[in-house]
Amino acid sequence: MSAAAWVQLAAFLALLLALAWPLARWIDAAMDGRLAFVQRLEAPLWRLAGVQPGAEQGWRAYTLGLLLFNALGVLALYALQRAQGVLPLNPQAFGAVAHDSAFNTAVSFVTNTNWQGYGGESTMSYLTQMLGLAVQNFLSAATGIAVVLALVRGFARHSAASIGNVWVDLVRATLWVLLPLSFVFALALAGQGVVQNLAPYTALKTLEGALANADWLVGRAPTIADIDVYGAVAYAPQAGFGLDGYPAIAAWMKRIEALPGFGPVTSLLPQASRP
Amino acid sequence: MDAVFLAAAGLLAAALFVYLVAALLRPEDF
Repeated sequence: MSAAAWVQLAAFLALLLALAWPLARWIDAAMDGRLAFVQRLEAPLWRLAGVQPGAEQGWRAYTLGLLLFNALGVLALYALQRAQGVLPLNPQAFGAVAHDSAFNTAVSFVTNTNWQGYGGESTMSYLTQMLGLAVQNFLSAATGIAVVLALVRGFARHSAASIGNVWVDLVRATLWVLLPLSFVFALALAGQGVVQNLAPYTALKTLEGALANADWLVGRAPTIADIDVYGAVAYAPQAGFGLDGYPAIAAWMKRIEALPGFGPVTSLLPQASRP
Repeated sequence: MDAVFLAAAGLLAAALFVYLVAALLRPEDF
């Protein structure tokens, strides 16, 4: 490894260790409900939800609540994927996710496995991603935090009849640990220019603009960037994106195909998979 | 449909925000 890589590794570890203590203190105070503004903000939520935050539960009630909550999560996420075709925020007009894939994804995201057995951008509507997948990213993580807390309380209290309140733990983990952290990370991503909007996809438009006044993507000669992007764009018609309205891309593809040694992308596939 | 949905979601979020701010400012009423 280079010196820069070692420095990066050391800086990362130092930052991680330096953040562990203050973050742990924050999590402890927030999950314990010791912060005054947290108490004030939570009070109306408990009233709305009909939860007595001081009323602790035994392990059976706690477990049952956790299982019930996540079972409802599976149902909601499955239903959302199956119904996305008739729901709003679906500018690409995606149909329902296939029942087996929808069930797989629902179970996977509720259990924090987050296995993406689907092509995100060509399968899930914005609504499904925001109201289903992203919500479960929070709730499954909150479930993990709640389980750890219940376990710690069970150990720490030796012989106690209760291990906390599952609804209080889930709400506090989500509101005061996961949401603030994700807000900070979202700002970092936005600061780096990550695109996030509710508009229809603008596939190929950026590329068309880049090639309008240039023969190649980088510099004045073909580079690995051209080869790489060509390999993806060659599949655009199969993915439902016609290349008709993009003359600069069409001309660029012809230039690549005229390069010495060019072979079609399918020639890279194993013999049995070739069309 | 998207605009209606977003407007409804926005109103709901605004109502929750007002509710929480009110709870923060006048906790004795909650």
